[in-house]
Amino acid sequence: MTGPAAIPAIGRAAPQALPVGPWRGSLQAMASEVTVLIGAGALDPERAMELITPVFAQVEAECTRFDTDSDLMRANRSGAEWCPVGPWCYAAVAEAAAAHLRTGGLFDPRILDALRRLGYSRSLPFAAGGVEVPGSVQSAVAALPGWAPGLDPDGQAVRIGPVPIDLGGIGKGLAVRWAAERLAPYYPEFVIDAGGDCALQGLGPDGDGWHVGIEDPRGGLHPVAVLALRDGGCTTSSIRLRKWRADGVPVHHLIDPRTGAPGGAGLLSVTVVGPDPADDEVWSKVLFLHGRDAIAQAATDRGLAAIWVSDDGTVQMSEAARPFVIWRAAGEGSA
Amino acid sequence: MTNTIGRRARWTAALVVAPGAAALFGVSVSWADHARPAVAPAPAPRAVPGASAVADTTTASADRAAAALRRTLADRDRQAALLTKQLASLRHQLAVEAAAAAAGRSGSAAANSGGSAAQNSGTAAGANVAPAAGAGPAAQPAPAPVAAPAPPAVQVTTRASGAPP
Repeated sequence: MTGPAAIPAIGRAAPQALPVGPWRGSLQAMASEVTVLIGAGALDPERAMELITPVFAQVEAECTRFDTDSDLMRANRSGAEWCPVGPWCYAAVAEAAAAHLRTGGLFDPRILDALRRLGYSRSLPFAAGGVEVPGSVQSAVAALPGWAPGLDPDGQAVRIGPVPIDLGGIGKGLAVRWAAERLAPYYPEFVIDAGGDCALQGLGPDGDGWHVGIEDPRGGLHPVAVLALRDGGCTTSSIRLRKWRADGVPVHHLIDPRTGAPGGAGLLSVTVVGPDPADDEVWSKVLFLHGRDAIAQAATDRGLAAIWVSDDGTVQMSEAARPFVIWRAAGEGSA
Repeated sequence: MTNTIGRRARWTAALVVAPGAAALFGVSVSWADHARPAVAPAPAPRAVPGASAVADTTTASADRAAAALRRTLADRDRQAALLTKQLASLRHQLAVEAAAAAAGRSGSAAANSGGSAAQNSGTAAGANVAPAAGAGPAAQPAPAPVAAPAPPAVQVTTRASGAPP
């Protein structure tokens, strides 16, 4: 016989036994759908969205190049003059400058003019495909000297220099990093996935890490590989979507600062696994620019965990990436 | 005169006795009503605040707990099935890699061309190829491709920026 005293015990035990999967939420930011997973059993998972939505909103507002009044575009217009900016834009410019140095100049946000020349001066409907815009792919670009923007931490001001910059890629990686920092104190298990840039914490639902699929950049239904990741990040740079024709010539958005033209010959996508999504974003882009013939050596030289897909469909990975790969498709790259 | 007095006395007596008899009858009836407890309907239980709610909650909680346990069991079954699949996948992958390694040792595997990277060409054994460092040139026919099992369930997908999940 169960007495009233036993009732609360049953009531407490039942929720612990409920086998619920991760809680899932999403928001739209930075031209991507941001997906958030919170591990099962977390208290108040809905609060995660309240914590991170302002981060994405503020980073986007300050760092977008599609709003002429954004902090970034004001700083770009100021050129060699100091320009006070918001804290997110300031931090992003500082991070971009550090990444420029760390990569020997291969990461260079001064590709805005090149994108404009190619007709990517406004948000384009890439998802629909078949984008054609007027543009010039013939313009010769002089090699730019190293980039060293002015940074005034006291006045929270930046001095971009004469060449405007684009913070699109690194801005999203940073937003994911900062959003993850906000979730970490409250949730032991979570994933933030912002259109290719992911931050992960915890062991995942099955205890062996969060399972992250790598999209087939040729549009296949199944991933080309599946990773098991925990406490870190991963980022994919891909030309599956952001490609178009400029004056009839196929181009994409990953610009090689050495040439001012789309880079990464022979590659469709590069995924990098590492501790920080913003760093992963930088390195995935830099590795992509090496192209199919040089990426393996570049990844090995830097000890990067990278998986890449060539335009013939082959899937390759660095040695450092192998421990993360729990599945890869057979027949990839076959004729 | 005597008759008158006697008649008055009888009326007086009657007026005194009748109410008393009526009162006695009423008392008797009342006593009789209250003297039948065995057949009288049971009194309604005294209302105890929360008692019926406790009883309802007990049943409801037990039902919920039972349902939760059933769901737990079903979930464990699903997880066991998933783990079984993953185990089969890993065994398969291990076998494929072992076959590729054996083929490489015997010189029958197709060589990689990618420096220190492992290449998945689709024409090498199962496309799960060992690291290419030190691999020789492609001089021998590759083993027949082995179909990989279906990919495990993923929680998220890393993809091109702007692509829908």
